Amino acid sequence: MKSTYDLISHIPAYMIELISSQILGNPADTGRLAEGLSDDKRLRKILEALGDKPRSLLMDLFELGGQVQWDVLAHLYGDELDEARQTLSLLGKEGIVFQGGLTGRDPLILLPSVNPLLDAVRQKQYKPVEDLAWNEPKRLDVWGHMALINTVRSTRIRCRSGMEPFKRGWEFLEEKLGDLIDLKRIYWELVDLGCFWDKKGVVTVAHNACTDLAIDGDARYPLWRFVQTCKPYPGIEIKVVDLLGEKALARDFLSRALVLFLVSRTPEVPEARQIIAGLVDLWIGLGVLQEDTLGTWIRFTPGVSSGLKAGRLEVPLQSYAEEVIIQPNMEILVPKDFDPVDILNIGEIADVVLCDVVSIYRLTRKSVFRALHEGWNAGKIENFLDRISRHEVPDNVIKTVAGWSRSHSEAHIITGTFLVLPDAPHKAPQGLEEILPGIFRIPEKCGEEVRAFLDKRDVMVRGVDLVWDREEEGGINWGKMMPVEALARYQTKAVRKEEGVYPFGMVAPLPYGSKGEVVFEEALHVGKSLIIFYPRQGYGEIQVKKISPVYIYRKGGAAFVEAFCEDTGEGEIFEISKVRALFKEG
Amino acid sequence: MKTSDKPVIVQSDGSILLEVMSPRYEEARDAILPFAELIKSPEYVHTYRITPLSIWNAAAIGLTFDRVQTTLMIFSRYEIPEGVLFRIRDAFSRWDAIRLLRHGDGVLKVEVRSRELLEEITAKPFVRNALIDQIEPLGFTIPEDIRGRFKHLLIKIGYPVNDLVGYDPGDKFPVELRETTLAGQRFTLRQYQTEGADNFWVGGGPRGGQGIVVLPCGAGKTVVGMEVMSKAGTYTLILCTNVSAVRQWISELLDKTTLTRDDIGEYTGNKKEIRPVTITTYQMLTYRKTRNAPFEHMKLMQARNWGLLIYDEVHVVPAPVFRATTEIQAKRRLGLTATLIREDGLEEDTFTLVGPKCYDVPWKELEVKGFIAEALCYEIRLPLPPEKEMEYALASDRSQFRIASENVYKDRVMKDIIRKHADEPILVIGQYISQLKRIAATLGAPLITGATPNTKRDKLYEAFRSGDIPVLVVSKVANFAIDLPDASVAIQVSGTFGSRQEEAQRLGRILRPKERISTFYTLVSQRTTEEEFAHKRQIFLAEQGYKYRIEEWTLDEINL
Repeated sequence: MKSTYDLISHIPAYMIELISSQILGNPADTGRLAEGLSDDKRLRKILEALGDKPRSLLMDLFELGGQVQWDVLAHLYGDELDEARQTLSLLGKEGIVFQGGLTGRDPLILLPSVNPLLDAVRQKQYKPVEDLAWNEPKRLDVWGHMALINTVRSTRIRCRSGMEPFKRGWEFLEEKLGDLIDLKRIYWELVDLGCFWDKKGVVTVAHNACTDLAIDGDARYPLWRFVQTCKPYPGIEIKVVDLLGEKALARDFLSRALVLFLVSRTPEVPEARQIIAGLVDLWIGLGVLQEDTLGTWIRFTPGVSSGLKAGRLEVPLQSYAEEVIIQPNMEILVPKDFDPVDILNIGEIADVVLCDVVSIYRLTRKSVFRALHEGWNAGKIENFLDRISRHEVPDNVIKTVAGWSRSHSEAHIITGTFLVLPDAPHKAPQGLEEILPGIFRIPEKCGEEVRAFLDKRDVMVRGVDLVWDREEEGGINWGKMMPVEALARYQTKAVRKEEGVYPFGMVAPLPYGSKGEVVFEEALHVGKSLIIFYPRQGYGEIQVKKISPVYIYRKGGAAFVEAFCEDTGEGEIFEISKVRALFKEG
Repeated sequence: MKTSDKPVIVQSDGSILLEVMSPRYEEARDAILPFAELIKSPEYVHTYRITPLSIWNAAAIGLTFDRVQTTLMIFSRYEIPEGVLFRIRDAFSRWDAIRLLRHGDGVLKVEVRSRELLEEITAKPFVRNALIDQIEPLGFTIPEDIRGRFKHLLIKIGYPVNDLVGYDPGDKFPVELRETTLAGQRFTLRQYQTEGADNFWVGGGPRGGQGIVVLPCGAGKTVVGMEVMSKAGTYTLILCTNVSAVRQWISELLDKTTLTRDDIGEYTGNKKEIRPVTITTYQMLTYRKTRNAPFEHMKLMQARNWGLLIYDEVHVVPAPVFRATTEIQAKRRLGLTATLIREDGLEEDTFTLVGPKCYDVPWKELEVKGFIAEALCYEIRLPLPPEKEMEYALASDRSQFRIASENVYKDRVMKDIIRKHADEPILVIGQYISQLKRIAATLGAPLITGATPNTKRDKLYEAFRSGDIPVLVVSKVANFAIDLPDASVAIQVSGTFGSRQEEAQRLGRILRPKERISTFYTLVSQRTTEEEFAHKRQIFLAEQGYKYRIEEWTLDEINL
């Protein structure tokens, strides 16, 4: 409902006078009712008179967009639903809360005219960030990821399809890293990021993706992790961005708003409060959110809000520990806060012995061979060690690595795509490497180009499709959810127009079975008239009738009431079970 | 890693990295040494480890948790991992939780700190069956003869027993240290030797009398043993690693104490003398004819009323000797070693049955003070002769190693080295007799092998010592021949390279204090299996803190 007029237009015309009499104290037409309900003074007076609980209920409805499914409310309030229902009835009597239908379980609608007043209350939950003292934001690094990558690189972890390592693999990793990192989480994160892949049943490190992670991890990983934690609750990351913006928000209010969001999307979610409390703590731990020193206010850590929209943080140049120690026993001691890119490089040339406060790597014949396979050579290793080492690299280390490098014989198994053009080698694109006469090697990712070139020269190309090794496909996969995009508004179910909208509690469904009959019996007994909502015979359209019961009887198992209808001035018979609702007067 | 005034890094597994280049290195080292074991000491960062045993050793000399925590906090560059502090606190809480005291003749009293612990211990079948009587509030009595087994059992469940029972003094037999050795040299104890002996003895009361003195090779552990013998003044049984060591002990005792040859018994394969001071080998004690036969010579442990047992190189005590030691817990027990680390992981047995560490001093400190020589290690790599390359390629693994070891180019390189150290005593050490014969012939130097008669050996040693022979070629007898004269240069032309012990022993030949730096050369054939073994040695020596240099000689350099 966009406006109070819009809301009033959903009230059946024949109810307008009745409702305005009830709320405003005198009968009025649609326009007057809308004006009366929107009267600012009246609304302020009502709001000021409200206690904490009704006010917080109103705020909940407002935060939920002013229109709420009944089951959402039922989940939110749980054991306190009856109390909430009473509060809503009071608010209904004041024309603040409406319900769109006659079943009693229809959506609740907040009077649109009250929104500006509630919004003003909401704004009090915000503060400028400069007015508060903030705790140091937590800093998330990718050290654990680098440690795991290097550990996997140093050994051979076999896995099932789906990248799940076998028990022994897990045990090995657990033994090496279990006390230091959240092993399983980080493992699966690396799989998600494309840093590990399954090469014939062995967990294999994807060089490019890992390098990307090492280079860009500081800027992107905390955001990526934030988005990952939001995945089970679609849209919550957008809600957080929406709620916080660049301001500080009361922690309680943020939590409540997120609980409302969560329950409104998935009412069946259990323990929503605990989930949100856990998430907020986690986001603070990730350094995405920042807490004030009293723990009562929350904001986005500077740069995060814009970072979420851009997909990466503006990270200042990191001051990493500058050097490692290379010992004569071939050990490399690497501090935890060493540059991740160089940690990754160390893992390429040396085996992990221990990951800890200071990690220990060891240069071994095997590790040096592995490095040579990955394109290193003795000189490159020496220069690298020289660059990162605090002290002069021990002579025996250099000589031993050089010795190992020399003892490494090389053979090449060339895989790739080749252009076989023995009859017309001159038609081959210039610059291609000619492996054998008339046989050219096509560089990676140039297949399509070469094909297009040959097409233009009327060369019919036959052979396999140009498929490249997965490892060579590219870098890290930060996923589709980055950056965080604009909020798509959540819509509640449409109000059933045919049944109309009524102030909450003013119209109630007739109790089921004999309890419904009792309502008519009591009216008959005390001589009271009732306003009933009754479907017009043959049309299904709901009619409102003011009746005075005269006689109640049963026929063929159904209960009927014979009553005097004040609208028509005639006696009519109504089947009690078909009465949809009663209007509560007074 | 920037050098800082906080040179200690405490790792989550309880190991401690100590930066040597820090200005506060020495201060930090002295502070952590009482509660952490030195694992390795390569050039820049030394590794220590805190274990329950190291903490109990510390607790035994009166250190507290607070003191350890404060020490770590003073020197630690990063926050100390919580788990480490927890484990240290736990280990401290277990020390002195159970005390063993004398209760009467043949009966010992066990005092336990808490009711829960008392119930836990007495629920063990071994204790339940041995228990004589409950003593309120928290104690019980056991027979004296299960003293060792009781302590052994309790340490297995994580509780070290504080043994305050005291000792059987043994039969009296005074031993005095000489002021001038038989060889005519002035003899006094070095400060650390006196401290080691005093820490063991603790005034002769029940708090001392069992423990291990840790000193580096060449630092004079034997002398500490002799000082303890003079304090105890009792019948003494000394257990060594081999016959050579037995002989060395005998000669040292004769040289530096008032003991005569008649006072000293050699209990080895050749002789079975049992005298007031008897020296034997672990091998002798654990000898048996068949696998299931009893240990014939183990009765030596009870053959006299010994008042003191000395376990030389205690880190290699074999398991059966430990078992026998459990029965003689009333005797004072001194362990001597350069390291508490055992290859077989039986450190707990050493702690319980021989005793806690009572003294330790790092070798670097002794090197700085000039008590042991500074040593440089060189590995010289040289190619195989071209004519041997094919033979090498086609040979079996074992033969390959021999071909590499006997590389004839080594002879030429060795000559170069000898020329370079012309004025120094040089030992050439090797594995293969044929190779050594060839070398001896080439150099015109005498050769000592296992077959060389003792009289001839002694003559050659004397000639080497006096400088008449500048170069001595020796086979693997050098590994344990403690009477081998000191040299300042050792050239290892071949070896098994498998054993860290062998490496340490060979290096030990050149570690006696001297004015010049000692040099240890190893010749290795390039691109052969010998290189792999050499690498292991390289790691071992580097971790001991020796400077290790590698030189590569080309064919041209060799031929020149």
